[in-house]
Amino acid sequence: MVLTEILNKQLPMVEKPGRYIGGELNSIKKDKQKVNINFGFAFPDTYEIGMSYLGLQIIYKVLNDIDDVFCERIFAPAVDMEELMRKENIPLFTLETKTPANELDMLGFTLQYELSYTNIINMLDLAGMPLRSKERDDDFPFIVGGGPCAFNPEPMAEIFDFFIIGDGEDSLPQICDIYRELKKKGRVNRNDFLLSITNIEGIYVPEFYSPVYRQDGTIESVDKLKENVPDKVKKQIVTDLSSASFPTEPIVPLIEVVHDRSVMEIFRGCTRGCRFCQAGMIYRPVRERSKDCAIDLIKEQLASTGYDELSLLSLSTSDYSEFKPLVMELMELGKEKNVAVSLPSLRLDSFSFEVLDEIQKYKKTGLTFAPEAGTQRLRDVINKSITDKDIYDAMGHAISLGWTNIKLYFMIGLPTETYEDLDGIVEIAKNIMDIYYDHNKGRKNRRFNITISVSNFVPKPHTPFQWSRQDTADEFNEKHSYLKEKIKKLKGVSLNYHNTEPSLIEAYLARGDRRLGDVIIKAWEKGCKFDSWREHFNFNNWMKAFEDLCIDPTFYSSGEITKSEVLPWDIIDTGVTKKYLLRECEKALEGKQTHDCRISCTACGVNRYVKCEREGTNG
Amino acid sequence: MGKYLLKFKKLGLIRYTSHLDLVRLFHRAFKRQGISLTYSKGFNPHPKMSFGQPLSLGFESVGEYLEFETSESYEAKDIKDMLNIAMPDGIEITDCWKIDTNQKSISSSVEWASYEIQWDCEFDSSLIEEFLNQDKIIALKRQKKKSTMKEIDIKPLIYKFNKLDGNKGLYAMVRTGSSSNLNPQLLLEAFYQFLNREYSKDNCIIVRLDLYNSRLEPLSSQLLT
Repeated sequence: MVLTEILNKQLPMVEKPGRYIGGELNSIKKDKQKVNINFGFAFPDTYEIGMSYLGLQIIYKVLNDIDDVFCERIFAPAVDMEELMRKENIPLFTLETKTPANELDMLGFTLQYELSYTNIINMLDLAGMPLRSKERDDDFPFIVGGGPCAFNPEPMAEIFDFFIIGDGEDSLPQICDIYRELKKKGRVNRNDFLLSITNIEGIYVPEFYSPVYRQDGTIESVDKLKENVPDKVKKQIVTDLSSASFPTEPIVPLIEVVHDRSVMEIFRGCTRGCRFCQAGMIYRPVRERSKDCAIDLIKEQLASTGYDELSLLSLSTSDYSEFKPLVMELMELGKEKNVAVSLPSLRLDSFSFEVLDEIQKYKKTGLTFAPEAGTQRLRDVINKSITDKDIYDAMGHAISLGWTNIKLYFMIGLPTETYEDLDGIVEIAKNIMDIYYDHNKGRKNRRFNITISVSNFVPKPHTPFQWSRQDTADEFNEKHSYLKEKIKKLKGVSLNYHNTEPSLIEAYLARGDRRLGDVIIKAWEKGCKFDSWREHFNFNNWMKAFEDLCIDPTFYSSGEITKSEVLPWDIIDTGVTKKYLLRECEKALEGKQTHDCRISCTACGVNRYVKCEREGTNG
Repeated sequence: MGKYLLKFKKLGLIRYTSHLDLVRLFHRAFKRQGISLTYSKGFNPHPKMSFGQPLSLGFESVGEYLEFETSESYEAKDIKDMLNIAMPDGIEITDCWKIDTNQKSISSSVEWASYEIQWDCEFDSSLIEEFLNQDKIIALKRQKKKSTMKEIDIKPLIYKFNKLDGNKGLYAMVRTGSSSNLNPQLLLEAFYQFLNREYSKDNCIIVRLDLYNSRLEPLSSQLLT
């Protein structure tokens, strides 16, 4: 209560105070004295970003559906708020009841991107908690991590007490069961709890394992420090999405957030097998929610929120097996209820255009397309199954229907890339412009424009490119300049690209080992936080942190680390075998494609653990 | 078909949401409760819904107004009850009236607003009189779309300004509306300066009490007769 009063008085002094107030429609309040487990779901970025993340809403529901568990939300305070909190001695707090984070039983962080790691350190510090797991005793909450970056937990291994690998819908209640049992017997002992939860699928407790390094920094072996803990941690998989918990009454933010709309996850996983894509590997196999289930849940969600926009979520919307009927029904529903339907990540075939044209009848917003690489050769290498013909047919179609803003996504620095592939990017833009001129009978219209958006390749764990090197800063910068020069000459085409430095840090952290924990803490001590925010990112401080600890960061990006047989993330078993990844890597270098496993199984290995419902269904 | 006027409160931490946030909130509340608003025609249809007078971010209120048109007819009481279910912490609908469809919009009839300023004030009441008795009361107002400040005389914009009983704070009734408007914060800044103190936004909580027409009648009073 005292904290609420302080906030009530101090909030006028910060930007967007609505970030810190809670009390939204559908947010949950329970009597925290009456529940057994007080859980804090922490998103290591600002409210607007965290509230746009569906995973938060799912976990919030899963936990709050359990009577004696109360899940509250915590976000990273923006820099001005942090300043105020430090000045006024306000600890990191939950939005729902303004409870200090260090009074909770468990604090769970979602690891969505590597560049949020310093925010986690900052939040632990704001909560008044020791940063390293071994420095926290029974009086502190358990710090748990999950999400995609937990698939290489090692850089954060010394900070977190345990990680949840894979889907959290079932594992979180299992963890709560064990906590409750121990609590009944009295005080929850740290070691007892951590040891007990290793029986749950997908739980990794780093302190029970110790990596042994060779002289050159690669890993010789990993010692197990407790007898009964698993040799490898198998990710947990929710097999039936239709019966899984889904937020039918999601929290409706009071202030504007990045994605302020109703969201339906139609499937998890992807069968396409793009070789750079971590999500495409770690979320296997594809599990679909049935169309009828999706429609019912959407109706419930719209009724409980009053949203006037609806979006579908998946890695590749068009691949949904009941895509056409689903979209037809949604369009009807949208008309009937005055709800705008938006369909991200569509494959641009004629049906998609029909639908998009209907949706964006009067106000055609941009059309985005992701060829990822500029030449057929390189697209074969990365297994992106789009042909030049696909690109130009789609663009011709778009132009004839009146789209005037085209955005194309590419990645540079991909394995085997040469300057010819960069020329290919320019060529594609030029050809689309020509299609437009032809269509417009040679007349130039300033309204038509193409944006080329270029990101920098970051090799990710558990992908066929996990062994690849990343371009150096100089290589990236040269490629940026090269593209800039070439694209400058094309009227109506603009280029934007990601800065080089954040991509380097992302790569170091993505394939990092346990020694990076100290570096992350050091970087934070030097002031690093909000690294994914251009205005806050400080490359020099990161470099100084590496230097202070005598660690060469390029070890993690040059491909040196992967010369070893044991990789830092080998402790995690995604179901996809190393043999498959190696085979895919070899095929990549030979420029050979691997087909979509909806056609027939490509033997990635995940079906050893779970049935692939979509396997061979398009064969 | 129907036109309605709502009166509602905005209290507690939700005062840190903006006017636009509130517009969105009500729009969703209507949608959620299945109350069908009338939409404007054209390429970009938007619901016919308007507020008496936007409330500054950070202010509380016990007298906010919202006017809207529906495509179906409802009982005013039902609307009030339905909306209250869909409101987040801190917003409460206190009244709902069905009004004449031809009635002039409320936002155009708002001329005055009253505020309670919760502040531990330790000064003599005579100082307020002295403050109000100046020939001109000069305040610095930020100019629209510019970073420059302009001196304006706010004296004609103040109808009442006095101390509340028991040192609980101040009461102010000032001009508001589209033609001429005085934000009570500007009045406070001027008064603090008169007292040789510096005003900071966290000094006090400002609560809007009600909105009035040109005859100084509360907006709702016209409806009650």
